[in-house]
Amino acid sequence: MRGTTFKWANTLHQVRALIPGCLLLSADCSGPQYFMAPAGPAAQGLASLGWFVMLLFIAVTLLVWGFLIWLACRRHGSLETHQPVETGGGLRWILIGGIAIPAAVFSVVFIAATEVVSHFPLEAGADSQVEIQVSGKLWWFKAEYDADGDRAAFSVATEIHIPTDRAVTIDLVSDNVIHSFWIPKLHGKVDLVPGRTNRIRLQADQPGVYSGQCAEFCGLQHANMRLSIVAEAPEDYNAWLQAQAEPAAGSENDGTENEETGGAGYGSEVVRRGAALFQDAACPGCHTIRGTPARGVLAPDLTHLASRRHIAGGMLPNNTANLSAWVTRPQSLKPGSMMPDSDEFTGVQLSALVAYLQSLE
Amino acid sequence: MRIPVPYRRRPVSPCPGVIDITEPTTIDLGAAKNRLTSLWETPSSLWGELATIDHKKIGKRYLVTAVMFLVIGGIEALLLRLQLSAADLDVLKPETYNQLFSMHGITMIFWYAAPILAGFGNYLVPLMLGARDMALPRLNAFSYWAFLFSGLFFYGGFLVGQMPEAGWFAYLPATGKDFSPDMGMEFYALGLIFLTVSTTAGAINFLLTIFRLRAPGMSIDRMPLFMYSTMTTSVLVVLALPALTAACLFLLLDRNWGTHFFNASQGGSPLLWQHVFWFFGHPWVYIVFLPATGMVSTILPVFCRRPIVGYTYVALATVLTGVVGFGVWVHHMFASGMDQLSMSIFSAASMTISIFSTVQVFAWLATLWGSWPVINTSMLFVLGFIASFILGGLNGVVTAAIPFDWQLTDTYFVVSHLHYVLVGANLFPVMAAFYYWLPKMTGRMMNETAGRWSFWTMFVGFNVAFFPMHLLGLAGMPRRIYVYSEAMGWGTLNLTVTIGAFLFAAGLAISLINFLYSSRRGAMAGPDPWHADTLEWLTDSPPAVYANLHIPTVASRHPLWDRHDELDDPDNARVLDKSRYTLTTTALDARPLGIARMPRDSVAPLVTALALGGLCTALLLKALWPSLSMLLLAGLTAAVWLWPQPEERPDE
Repeated sequence: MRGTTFKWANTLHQVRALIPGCLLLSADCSGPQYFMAPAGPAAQGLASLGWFVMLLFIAVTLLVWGFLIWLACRRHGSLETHQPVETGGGLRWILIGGIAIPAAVFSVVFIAATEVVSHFPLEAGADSQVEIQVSGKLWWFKAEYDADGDRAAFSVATEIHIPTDRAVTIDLVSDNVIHSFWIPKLHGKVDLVPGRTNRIRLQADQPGVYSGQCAEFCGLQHANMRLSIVAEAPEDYNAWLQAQAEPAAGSENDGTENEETGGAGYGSEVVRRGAALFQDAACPGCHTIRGTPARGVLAPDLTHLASRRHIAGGMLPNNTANLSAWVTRPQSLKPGSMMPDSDEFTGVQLSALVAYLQSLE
Repeated sequence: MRIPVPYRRRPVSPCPGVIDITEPTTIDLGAAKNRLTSLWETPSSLWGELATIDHKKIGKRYLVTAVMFLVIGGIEALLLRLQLSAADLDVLKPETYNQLFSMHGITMIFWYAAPILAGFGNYLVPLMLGARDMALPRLNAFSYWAFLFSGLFFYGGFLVGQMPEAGWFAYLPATGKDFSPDMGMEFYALGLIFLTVSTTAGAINFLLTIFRLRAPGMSIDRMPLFMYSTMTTSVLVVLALPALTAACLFLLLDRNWGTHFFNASQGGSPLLWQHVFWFFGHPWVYIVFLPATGMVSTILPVFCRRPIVGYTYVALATVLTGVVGFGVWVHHMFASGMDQLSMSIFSAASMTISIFSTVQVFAWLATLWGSWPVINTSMLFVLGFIASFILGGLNGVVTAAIPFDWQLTDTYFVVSHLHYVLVGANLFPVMAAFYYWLPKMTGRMMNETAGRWSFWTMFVGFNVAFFPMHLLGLAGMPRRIYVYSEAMGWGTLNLTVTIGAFLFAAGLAISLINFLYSSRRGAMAGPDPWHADTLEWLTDSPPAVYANLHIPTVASRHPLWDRHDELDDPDNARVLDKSRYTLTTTALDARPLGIARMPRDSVAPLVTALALGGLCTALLLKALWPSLSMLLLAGLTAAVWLWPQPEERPDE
């Protein structure tokens, strides 16, 4: 009997050793989407509540585990020597440990949670002006900025710019399946539900790029439906707005309409040829480049493609290699995406096309 | 065998009424045994096996089939983990990954977690009540066949490559015709409707059995706690499953017949699906969890060598969990854009329901506290369950704190929570139950060394697999992604999870091999190897087809631990060997009410289930006439099934 007890005490020791080991792994937790290190007041409110509740419950768990392990190791009986007996008592464990303490603890947690909800930072008032409308597509996020004074309305894909130090109201819609808008370091999730308009208000305290991704399963490429919020100082943000509202570079003298004389606006002959190729190929069927005849609405607006950090719904960095690969073989890179593979370009044509896309600052 | 105990509550002869019901017989008991055997026995032929309505056979079939589904679902999970073990891997294609995670969830939740408990219920409920079979034995056979065929039907989709791809809760519109044009969702919806028929029939059967076939004297306050959980679960099934059936029916209509229940552009709402589905879905969580706690409340006191502390509290907590379980479904939808008041109500209900669980946990701890526990494999799994359940319950409360849930929902934190609850609170108790009751079912003891190896491998593997998922969730990893980039920094934790998952699977494999080996070669168990308190240990191991020669009577909560002799029957009034008889009793006090004649074996349940399977297949193919003929066939077999039977006489 003694031997067995010792053996089990030993094994239980090993389990106990495992627990701090697991906690140590949390060093891995930093990362671009680690929301317990927030970057805005909304996420800050959530993280504070989260730390409070989690630390409280970690303490409770360790306490009860300790008790359980002690009970399991303290003394052992055997079927032969221990007849069943009614020792009585123990009800107090249930009344205090099972009812009173949990009721108090859960009440505290509930009150804390309700408190956070009812005084939620940035809660959208009735007067809050919607600045950006984000819609979920298959599989990318489209952000539309309204016209303002002289500035024309425009839309961008995947990268949403906001100014720092003030709250921005974003409407969330979808015309296909349910998606969820999530920038972990700035705010929790809000779903994009067809037939509804949900609203989120968020604020970034520091300039920076905050990454996020769709958080509600939305089909084949859910994993590659990413987005980021680029927070900029207000003057940079205004400059960005102005720049994005402009038509595409070089389009003031659109090369496609008159190849003999046109194209003066383009930086080089290669770019001019790329622009012509773009207009002749299938591209304008889905993509818009403002200032040119390309007016497709199904796919991202490419007017200022070169100003974005990523392509393909945030999946690939925006560089020459990825652009070339994406133009010809999107189905290998992101199977199921709406963009078809294309074999229509020669190598020379492809580099002209990519040069054109890269000129769209 | 009987162990005298120092406490006695009511030293009574509980059922003076029995003798009035049937005339005393002066048969010799040997002949009575033979008669009972020939009455209840399943002929050893293929036909006999197909027609059998013996709850013990059906229960074992349930267990074996559910374990098969567990293994299939487990293999699917391991494939998923291979794909996720490092960043940017290309082990599975995206559609394969999406299909596999859907199949894994659906298989585990619908075709493993509830059926395995139905298997234990089927086997144990009549024995624990001292009855000779379930109240509706043919319906019981039908439940099993329908469960089996619905699973085969659903996996038929696997064979033809048509699988659901949008997870087990199948949110619309992603599962609508526009976005899932193939037949995967038809297999899902028809398969689930078919399964609900089986589960509902099973639940009604449990209710009737528990309320009518308890041994005389087993008043409602003397029932084993497993009965309370089975009863609560059965009520939940009856009330919650219609929502699932309705949801699946709406889905089929939307997909195939042009209705617009979930179509926002035509005035429907995708959120309707979420409400209807979770109205079923959350009670289902308790359906797969409560019977497991009931088994723990039965096993733990036996190895603590004392009655459970706070029987009444545990029974009430069980029932209340079921009641409040209907008021928490919206906590799955906190990110869908809901007003604060509704969210707060559901958050409060979710925290309230946790208190009923803490009551149970502390009842177990209190029972351990005053005891000299016997630590064997079964008990280890019980302790492992309590440890996992504490963590899984509390991290569930973390997600119930509404605003924080906006961060946690749909991340790996939730994946971790649900596995701590479902593996911790379903699979661990199930393993404990196998080690505890397989000696009853097979007559042989399971190998203890292998059992302990299995437990520690599983327990360590489980925590290595699922604990890091908390951290992945906090690091912002959403669930259901087939790939992630190196830059996210999730690689190390994911590799840890994968290693843990394989370790866990290895531990499970040790136990499954142990079961197969020990049920043939293990040491003989004898009728009551654990010196336990409930009535199933009164029978031989494995039990005779008629269970007990005399229907037992009960005088306390712990019949085998008190001085009352359950089988004491000087007049042989409770042998009941004239036909397939069992005793019925009143619902609350279990006073003798009459004698029920149980039906004979029949293939009608099998044929009815087959016809329903045919109906599902015909509906899948949208074949009108085959559908109608299958419906007609099902109706006709049901008529044959229910046709009054002539009085039956045993061979003299």
